[in-house]
Amino acid sequence: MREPRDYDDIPGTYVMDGEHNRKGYHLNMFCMSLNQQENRDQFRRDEAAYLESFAMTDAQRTAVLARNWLEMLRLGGNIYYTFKIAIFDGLTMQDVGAKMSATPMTVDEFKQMMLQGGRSIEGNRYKNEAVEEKVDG
Amino acid sequence: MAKVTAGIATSHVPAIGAAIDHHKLDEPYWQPFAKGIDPAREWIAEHQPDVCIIIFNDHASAFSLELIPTFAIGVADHFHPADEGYGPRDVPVIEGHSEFAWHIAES
Repeated sequence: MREPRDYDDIPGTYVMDGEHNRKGYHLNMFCMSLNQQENRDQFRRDEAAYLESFAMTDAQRTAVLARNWLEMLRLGGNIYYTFKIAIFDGLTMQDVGAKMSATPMTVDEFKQMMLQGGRSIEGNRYKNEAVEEKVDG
Repeated sequence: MAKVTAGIATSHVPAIGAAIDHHKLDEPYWQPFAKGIDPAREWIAEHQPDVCIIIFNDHASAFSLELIPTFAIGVADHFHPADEGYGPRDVPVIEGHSEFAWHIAES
């Protein structure tokens, strides 16, 4: 097991470090395979069968089949890779941005948030920030 | 010695290419970005540099987790648009200058 990292405490952020890369390698390489038309065709024909050709975990396969975008990130996925599945589905970055929000959010709400400068840092610095603020304040 | 005339940079948003391809820059969501790059468009149209050195990052296009150099210099005569998952973008092939690129690489 690796040592804890300070960034482990950032809520909702999955830093693409060595551990994350190691966990997500096969998931991300499946996504990378979608850069080729013949692979996209195969995935389109039978998603589950195509996923069998990659050494992914069952949890990763389930997340892909269910298009659980946030879970894919938790399981080692990287957005630049998992976004290839979104493109495959005809979704935009804003569509999946909204779907990856841990708190339910529509696409329009996501766009509005981005136009206003992005998600507020308040309450998002540390997993225990809300508690700390109460103590400090 | 060449004269360096300008450096032009943009915010990094992977969705920009798709937004341009799908004519979405007129939409309110993209307007702040579109207006932001207008001065750069105008500048480059007016000044027409002889050579552009284009610096960019590669998100799982030519490179993937199989092999990721920290830094690479493209020295080809032509650079074709990558298939990033939805077919290569309908944009012109980038014309390289192999001799100059090798000069940079070996300098």
